[in-house]
Amino acid sequence: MASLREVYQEFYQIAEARAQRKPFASNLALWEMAKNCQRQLTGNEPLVWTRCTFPQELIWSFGILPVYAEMVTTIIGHVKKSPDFLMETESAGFSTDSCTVQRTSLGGILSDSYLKPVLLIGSTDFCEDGMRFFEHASRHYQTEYFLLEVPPICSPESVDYVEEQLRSIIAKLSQATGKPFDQEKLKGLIRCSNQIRAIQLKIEEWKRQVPAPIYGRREDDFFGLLNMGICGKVAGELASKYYEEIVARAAQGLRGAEKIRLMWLYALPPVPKVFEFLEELGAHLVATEQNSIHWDEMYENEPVRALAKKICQSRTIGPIENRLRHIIRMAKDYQVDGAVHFSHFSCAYSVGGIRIIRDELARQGISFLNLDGDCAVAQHNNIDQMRETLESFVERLTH
Amino acid sequence: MGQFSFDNRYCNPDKEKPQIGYLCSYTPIEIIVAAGLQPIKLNTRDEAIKQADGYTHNTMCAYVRQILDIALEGSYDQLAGVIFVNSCDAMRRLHDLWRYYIKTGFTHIIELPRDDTVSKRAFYIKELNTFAQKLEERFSLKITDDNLWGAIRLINQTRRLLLELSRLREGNHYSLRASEIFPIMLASTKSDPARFNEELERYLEEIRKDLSMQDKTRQPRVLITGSIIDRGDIIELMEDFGLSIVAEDLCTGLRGIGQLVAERDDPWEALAERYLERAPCARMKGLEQRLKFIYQLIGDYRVNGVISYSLKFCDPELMFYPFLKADLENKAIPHLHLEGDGTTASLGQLKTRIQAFIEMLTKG
Repeated sequence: MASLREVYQEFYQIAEARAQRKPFASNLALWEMAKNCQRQLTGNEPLVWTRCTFPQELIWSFGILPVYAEMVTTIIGHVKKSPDFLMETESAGFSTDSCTVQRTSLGGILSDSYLKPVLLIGSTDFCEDGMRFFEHASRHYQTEYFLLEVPPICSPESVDYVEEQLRSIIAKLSQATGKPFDQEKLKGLIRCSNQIRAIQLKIEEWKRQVPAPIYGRREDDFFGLLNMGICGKVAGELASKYYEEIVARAAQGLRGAEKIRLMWLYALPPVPKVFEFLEELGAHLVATEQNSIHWDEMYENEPVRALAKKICQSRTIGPIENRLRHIIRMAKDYQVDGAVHFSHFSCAYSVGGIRIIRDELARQGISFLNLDGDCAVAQHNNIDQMRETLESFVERLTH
Repeated sequence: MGQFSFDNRYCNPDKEKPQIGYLCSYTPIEIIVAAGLQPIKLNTRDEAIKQADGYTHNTMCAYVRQILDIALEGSYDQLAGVIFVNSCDAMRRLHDLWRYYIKTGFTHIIELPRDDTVSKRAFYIKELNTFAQKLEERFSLKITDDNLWGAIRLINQTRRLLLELSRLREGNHYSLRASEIFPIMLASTKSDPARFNEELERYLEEIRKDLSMQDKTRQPRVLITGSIIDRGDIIELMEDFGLSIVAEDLCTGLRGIGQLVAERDDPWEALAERYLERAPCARMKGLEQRLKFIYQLIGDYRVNGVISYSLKFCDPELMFYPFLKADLENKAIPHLHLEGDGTTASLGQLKTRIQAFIEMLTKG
């Protein structure tokens, strides 16, 4: 069985080769991520394990490398080693009914002791298994685990509460690294993140056009990558280059006729063929929930509070309305014809509300399809069945 | 010796009071009682799901799907309100589904922090205050500190009595089967507390007089741990297979009833302290505390083996089990892990494994 170190090495080789062959921004970003992964392995720089909803700016401001559990899973999946790491967790007694996203990276941790952090930071603003992951990681690494509690509704009091906890995290990071908190550095990182946000909004604007000159999942993949481990000036430069490429691509004209405009809800499964197939059918993915902008521009002069506010604006916390509001707005803004909800196996957070989402979208005249699968392990998805289901759905929408 | 009376006089909700359903053992029922309302724990039934899978997914937790199923058929229509806690993702979504499709007049969800720090406790106290205010507005009443202290003392007494009942199993001179104790614990969750306490005090008085009774427990002595078992038939079936359950680390068992509210200082702070510091369920941060509680039970109740029972797709409990497994193996404590959907049918399929476990413990 491969170790996490070997996975990271293989990932680096793939990313480097791809970037050198085709130096597009997305490939360069992948390579940048792979370089950061190599830095994580050296043990020369402090690490913090955290989850996808936690702002990386705070961690980077201390010169610490963030390790996102979901990104580790993605990388393991990228080199097709997920089943090996899942087996590691099954030997330890983890149920096969538990989330594969968390179990894959947990398997990576259990298989070796690389990537020992100075702190683990979890948060309550996403899912249950995500929190449990940190309990196990904390025990394995014998490292403290801080759990950020995020209230269900965004209000000034909620932001106060989260800000107070972020300041506790700052104190711990300072203690762990022996460095004082550098507010100016954090402001700079937030400034870059705001610039990236602005670029992402411009791209989203393109996709709102009918027909959309750009479509597909590439943007979601690209910004997802940036959000989980590439920050600051490097991230800003990559985002700018990406935008230039988008403009150039759009200027070349549409690749295919837009028959149907689709919105994708929850996660994008690791099965690119499915999305190519949709495009062949003329079903253009114009909106994706996962990495879409749902937070205000951060006020950099109060950087900690700005991050707290961003966290509180998450659509993943609290009642279903937090998610629904965002979905309905996207459906209207992007003038979608249909929505596909990808239901990750055993993910109570996402699948628990699909009936409500379906009914509320129906009220807006938008058709809905639930697609079951696994957003972490490509091998767990039945591609032929997905294609058939999507084909029927698209056919229904076109008639 | 007499029996505990499940007669309507003692083990029934007070029908004069509006009934408030609740699901999680972290629900601060003291506040409901202080409001002059009747808390009723909502339980599952031993039947297959009929409607719920049309509203949620079949990979949602078995408990939530069952409760939703019962609600969809109108069996909870008489409730004046239902209280939720953000115990887990499934419970959070159940609250959403309830609001959209069940239409109970009043629902409320309480945000329970996952560990106890100064700021999180302050947040939780505000949550308790908000909950009380919502009850006051909805039912046009007032919850005073005196009302709350009265309710705290009443529920503390319930817990005290249940703990005394359970502790009879620690000793050698007298013992009750889990299938006798567990229904009493469950009855406490839907009875008028004052009347229930009266009957349990009477029953305990009789038992205290008769301590020379023969020990009814069989060997080996087993602790059952898990999230929720909310019906006596599951425990009874396990005993029919030959298990002698002497303690229950369950939301509906000793974990849920342990630790009293300290009767001092401010009642809201006292309540917050109790709920944040009681023996934790798997959703809380700091699973070491849960392990500590389990080992305390193993010691106090002279346990020979542990059965871990997880509901299908119960995320917190399924992710807790590897902790437990590793620890029990390190300490060479025999254990068996079972998964079920909360029905006796699913447990029936596990009979052979349970009996093999008992045989192993007996020979051990």
